[in-house]
Amino acid sequence: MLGVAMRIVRRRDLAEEVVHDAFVQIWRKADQFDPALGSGRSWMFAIVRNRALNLIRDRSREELTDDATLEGLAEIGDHDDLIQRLGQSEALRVCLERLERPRRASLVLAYAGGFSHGEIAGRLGVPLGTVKAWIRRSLLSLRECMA
Amino acid sequence: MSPDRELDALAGEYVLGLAEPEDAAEIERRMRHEPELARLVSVWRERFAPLDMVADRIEPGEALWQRITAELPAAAPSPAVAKAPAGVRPTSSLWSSIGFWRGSAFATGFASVALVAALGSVLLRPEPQPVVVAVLQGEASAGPGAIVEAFSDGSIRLRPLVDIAVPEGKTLQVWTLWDRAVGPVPLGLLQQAQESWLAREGQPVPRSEQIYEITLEPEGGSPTGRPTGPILYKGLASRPL
Repeated sequence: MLGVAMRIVRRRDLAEEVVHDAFVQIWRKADQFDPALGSGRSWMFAIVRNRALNLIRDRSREELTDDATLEGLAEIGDHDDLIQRLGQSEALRVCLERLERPRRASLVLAYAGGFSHGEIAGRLGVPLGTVKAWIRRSLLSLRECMA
Repeated sequence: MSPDRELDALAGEYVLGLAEPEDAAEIERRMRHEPELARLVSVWRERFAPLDMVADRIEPGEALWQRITAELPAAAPSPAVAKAPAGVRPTSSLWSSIGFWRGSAFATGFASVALVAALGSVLLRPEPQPVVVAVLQGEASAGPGAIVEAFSDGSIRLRPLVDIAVPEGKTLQVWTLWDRAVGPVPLGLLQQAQESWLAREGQPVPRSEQIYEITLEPEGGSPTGRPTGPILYKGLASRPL
């Protein structure tokens, strides 16, 4: 859980704050969890990711990290590395690899890095509208591919 | 875009964290009344969940657990639920360091058994898939002697399958070899056959056909930095499917 929070907030103390707040929320919202809808694990990770996103929205990201780390993490190559960590036969990996590289990177930057449409556009050097269209189409491709 | 694709794309964007804060709040409100939207969101969470499982493993410090437990309402420990839920590795040091959670707060406070089990596995750490696995076989004796699992974050788990006799003044040393030009590189020492976590430092990501072996060395490890004693167990790594 800390690792997931760290990818988004980049700082250990803030990641701990996220995990702490997430646990309090998990505790309070436990009665809302519906096992018919999915695993408890993905529900809890969603809470961690939401807390992390809220935290970076409340502060400017520049304040959270030094530029070197930010730039390093924004390289598409690092997101390929993340995909490589997935099992070779994992449906998510197979389907992500069918997407063109920048489209795949957009999804991973958003999900794992917590980047916004605008930040992804900046990192990949493409217009905002392009990123929005990529994401929507890529989601629909994934939906077909992982069905 | 047809309405159902539109709704699915909306759910997907929400799960990716791309919805604006107001839109995200609106989606969360709608999910309570629109089972179809709630279902689509859950499906997207499951689809992307593998990316959470491959995050770097970072152990939470004791101080963090203390802060968390201090804030949650305490519940009376119940021996009936003090057993670790299914799927949880009770031997984990992290698990034992948070024994509080097992018996008390979560087990009795949570309505859902599934959630308790999931929480146990999350607290421990997402169980990542190893990059490679090797079954080490004895030189002469039949049967496997140990399993090596190497993970992407650099950690290596060695699990002996048999008791390995270690004579007085000797130690077991674990090695790996991925390039003949580099030669065998030491991974760590074991005083006895027991599950151990080792680390690869400054080595490339493990790959198929990489060799792992255990040799018998003088106490303190091989004096030369290369295996000097007999090879007890040896195996080639494979990538799990």
